[in-house]
Amino acid sequence: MELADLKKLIPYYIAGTLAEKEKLLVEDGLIRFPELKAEIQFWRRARRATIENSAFEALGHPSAEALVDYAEGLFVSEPGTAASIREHLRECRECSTEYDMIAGTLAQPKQYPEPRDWAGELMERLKAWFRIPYAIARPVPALAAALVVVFAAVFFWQTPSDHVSMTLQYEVHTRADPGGDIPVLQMEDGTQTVEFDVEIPRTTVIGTRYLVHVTDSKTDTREFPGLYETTSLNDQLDVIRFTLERVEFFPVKGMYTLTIDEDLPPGSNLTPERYTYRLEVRTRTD
Amino acid sequence: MKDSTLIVSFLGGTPTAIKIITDWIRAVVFHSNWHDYENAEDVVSDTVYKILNLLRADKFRGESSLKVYVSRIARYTVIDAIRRERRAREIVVENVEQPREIDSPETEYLEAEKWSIFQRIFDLIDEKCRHLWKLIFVERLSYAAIAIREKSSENAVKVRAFRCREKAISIRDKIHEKPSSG
Repeated sequence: MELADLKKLIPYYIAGTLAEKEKLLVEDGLIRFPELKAEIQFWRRARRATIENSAFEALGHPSAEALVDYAEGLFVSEPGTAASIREHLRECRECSTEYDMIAGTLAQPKQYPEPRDWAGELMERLKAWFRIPYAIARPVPALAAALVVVFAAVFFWQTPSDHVSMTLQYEVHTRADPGGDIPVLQMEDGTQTVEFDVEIPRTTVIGTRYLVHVTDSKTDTREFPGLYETTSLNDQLDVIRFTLERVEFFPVKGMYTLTIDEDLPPGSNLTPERYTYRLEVRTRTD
Repeated sequence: MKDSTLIVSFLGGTPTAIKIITDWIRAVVFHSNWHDYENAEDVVSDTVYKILNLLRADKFRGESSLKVYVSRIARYTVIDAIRRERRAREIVVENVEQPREIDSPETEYLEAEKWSIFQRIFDLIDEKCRHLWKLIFVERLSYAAIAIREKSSENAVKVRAFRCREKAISIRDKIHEKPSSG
């Protein structure tokens, strides 16, 4: 075998992976070509360096590149890599020392965020938002507490004696004008309910039911289920009666639409009507 | 000087450009924050070699300034040097704790010197060679097995190992040159 061919076998000879026949050829070549000894030395060093490097990697140490890149903040978009290096640095004193040295040579070493502390972050944000009030309140913490107590006392004290007025105005009609005065309903102080009488145009059908809906400006429909059934016939108006709970409106003031849908009994030849009223809710302070 | 101009000048061996880049490297390598390593001049030389290869291979993408890039490569090289020297100290300690039969002190010194140079070469050689060496020496695969793994011919695998040897010699020669020789 020629020298050039033998040189190509030396790394495998050093690794001990040559077939027996080739191994004998190399050993014979070492006698014939003294220059092969330099090859042997080179590949022995290569083997040692490779094995040592591999053993170092097997311990999980980040490469020099990874450690420097981490210090420079290049893994910001790779939180998994950053987290594993950070974890390693906590456990490996040597790598931690290396990191400190790298960081010391950087103008501004990057800081990676610790795993998120949601509660802590929220507190920090609240502090940032309320920095000035916080600064004011800190010397007199009792002031904030007192304000809360006073506010709550006024609010809860006022509620039972307050009242709500509701103005009901007939807006849409098809069968007849209801006529009469616009009913003004007023809750009595301390009461929780109000009886609500609505006069609607006359119907000639006994047993007609009325379905009542109240819709606020946000189209939040509130239904007042119940059977509002005519009990008598007269020439003027039918009266239906239902009850509004104070909690339904108070203290929500504003404009509402009250709709009464006629639900005629089977066999009626009339077209069901819809009566629409505008309901304005006010509080005493308005 | 613009980065692109500086790169062209550096690769062309212009002394001013070489000085600018070498000064950046030196600013990192000789930073007072480093400790545990001694051969700072070797690190400068190794970094210049790396920078030359990277710039020749057009690996600088301009995502940062050239100065930041060069400084980063210098840091990589310093850390490699620190690790090499630490391993060397550990081996010395092992030898003290477990004495072995040694050759003459002079032979030992020369071998240590050669080993130190080889480690630098190992850190500078390309990833493909290190990968191949790992297959040969760590996984202990025969060239026939490597050929199958790498989907290559047996002869090509043998030639690749041989080329890595040549590259290593080339690196050894380069790192002993003055940076100005390019």
